[in-house]
Parts: sequence; C-alpha cells; structure tokens
Amino acid sequence: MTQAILQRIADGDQNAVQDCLKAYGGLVWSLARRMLRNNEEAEDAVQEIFIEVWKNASRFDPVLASEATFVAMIARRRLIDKIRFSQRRISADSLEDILAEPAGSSEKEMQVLVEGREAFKALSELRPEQRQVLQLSIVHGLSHQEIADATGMPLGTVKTHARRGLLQAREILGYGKDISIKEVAV
Amino acid sequence: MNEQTEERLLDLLCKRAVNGLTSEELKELQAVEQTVESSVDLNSLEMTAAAIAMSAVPASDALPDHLKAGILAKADEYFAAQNKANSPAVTTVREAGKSSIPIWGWLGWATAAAALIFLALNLYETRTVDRANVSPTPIPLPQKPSPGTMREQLLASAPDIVKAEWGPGNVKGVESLAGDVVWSETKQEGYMRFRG
Repeated sequence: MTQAILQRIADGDQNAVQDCLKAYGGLVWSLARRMLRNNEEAEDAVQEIFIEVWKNASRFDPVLASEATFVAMIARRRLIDKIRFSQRRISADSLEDILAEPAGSSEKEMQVLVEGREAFKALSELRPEQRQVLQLSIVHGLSHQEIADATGMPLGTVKTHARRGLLQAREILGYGKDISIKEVAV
Repeated sequence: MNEQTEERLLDLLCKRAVNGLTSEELKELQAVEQTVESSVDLNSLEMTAAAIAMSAVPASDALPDHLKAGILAKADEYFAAQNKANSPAVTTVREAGKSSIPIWGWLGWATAAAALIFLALNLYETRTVDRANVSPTPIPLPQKPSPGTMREQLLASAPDIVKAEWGPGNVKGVESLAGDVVWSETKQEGYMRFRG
C-alpha cells in the first residue's frame, strides 16, 4: 500500500525506505537525468532528494496530493536549485533532440507513470504553444531565455505561455482553487 | 489582498514552480506570503508542475543498483542520527514526592555526610598551615606589683620586720650612698633601697 510509505518513514520505520525506493526511485532518477542532463550530477542529486523526502515525510498530506506528486515536488525543488547553482547551459545538440520529441500521443501516455497520465491529459488540453513551453521548462529544465532562443519566441511570450499554461493545468488537475485567475484570451 | 499583490503573488508562485526564484524574489515571496489568507494553497502550482513533470517519466525507469545501494547506506546514517536525536535524554528531574532510593540508602548518605562534617571540623581544629604566622591569643596575666608596693605589703603584713639604714661607707666615690633594708625572718622576704 503505497500511500502509507511516507507515513511509515515519518514514524521512523527504516524498512519503508526500501519500499520508497522501489516506488519512487525510478521517478526521481528520471526527473534528475532529464533536468540535469549529466548522470554524475543526477546521482548526487537523487541521493540528496531522498534524504530531503525522508526529512519532509511528516509534512505529506494525502488530501492535497498523491505521494508520487509530493516526492516529485521535493525532487524538482532540489533539481531547480542545482540548475540555478551550476548555471548549467544546455548544448545545441541536446536542444535539437528535445525539440524533436513528439509533443504527445496516446502511445506515449501509456508508457508513463500512472500518476503522470492525468497531467498528460491536462497538457493535451492546453494550446500547443503553452504545452511546448511547459514541457521544455518543467520536464527538461530549460530557462525561459533558453526556450526563447530555441523556439524563436519572444521572451515575454514564453513567460506568458508558461504562466497561463500552468494556471490552466492547475485548474484541469484540480489543485488549489483558492487563488482566482484573471486571464484574458490571447 | 489587493489585485496587484495577488497578481505579483501568482507571478512569483508560477516562476518558483517552473524555474525557481532568485534570492531577492524568494525574499519578496516570503514578504507577500505574510499578507495571504491561510486558506490559499501556496504549493498548488508546484504540485501542478510536479504532475506535469511526471507526465514524461517512463514507467520502465528504475534506479541503478549501485545508486540504490548508496541511498540505502545514507538511510542507515540518517535513521541512526534520527534515533540518536529522538532517544530520551537522561533526566535529572525527579518527580516530587517520589524517591527511588530506599530509607537504608538515605541512612548511609546521612552517615557519610556526618562523617564528612566531623572530618572537616577536625581538620580545622588541627590545621598547621600558617600557624607560625598566627599570633597567639594574648592571655591576660595578673599585674605584678612593683617592688615598692611589695615592700609596703611586707611591712604591713609581717610581724617580725627587721629594718636597717645604710651607713656612710668608706668606698671612694660612693660616700653619699644612703638607703635601707627590711627583712622578715618568718616570710623569708626582704627589700633593699638605695639612694645617692
């Protein structure tokens, strides 16, 4: 029963670590490799992320999100910090590879984690530009400037797509509706 | 929260969720957060970004074995430190009215305390340190009467006083010597006076 893993860790059950790695090891490893694009840095990051997960296990609230989403959120915070700290610059070859990836298909949806399928559907409801900006920034860890350089979009447009796309995805996924959204159609 | 603040909050939350914030932006977010009602879920955009990130994670991805082993080793260290931090400290505060030491135990301690006090007093009384520098306490002695007084007392108390005047002698230089001598046979005590 995966919902109990973080609670068990918070209670000091070290045996739950094995279950945690089995359930979320692949998720964290995949996020780290995609965002850092360097296996050595990714390995260091994954170790740090799991320690962070154990430290924050008691803060997990199943009403707000699934365990996988909570673990991914902690992982992304650490990975974003690492990217900002290292001033990483993505190579042109890597950018071409990223941009060549198919934006979304039902076949691809079937290959992702169960927890990612709803988000996959939510992304498919966004405008293509918004979806592309969100995937490049969130999945691949590109900065807005890197996205602007790679796609030819003005920087301001990239920022607008990121913000509107994220807020719309939040509404579709049903996370936090307390902050009103005042958006106008483009 | 006014509309402008709300917009700025959304800007910062979106940026934090997608690309992270600079230290200045983080401070600004913390300041803005102080004005937000508690019902607002500030993590919702980060959770949305996390969900989007998961949309691209292949189900087949698995942690490499050597990395898993490294994390398990870290877990040993982490939980050992946690257990050490959470273990109850030795308490020195005892619940009032309760004692874990039996009466015999207290008796032993009381005897030891009394012995220590006795030893301390004994050491104090017999101490030799700096004794040489300590002046002896002066003992008041009875005032010895002067020879004149003693002569007067003898004259007043002895019934058989023999008294004689010194006569002028023939020693050159001391012809003017005068005085007397008194003697009591019963008290075997006498005094001589000289003048000149």
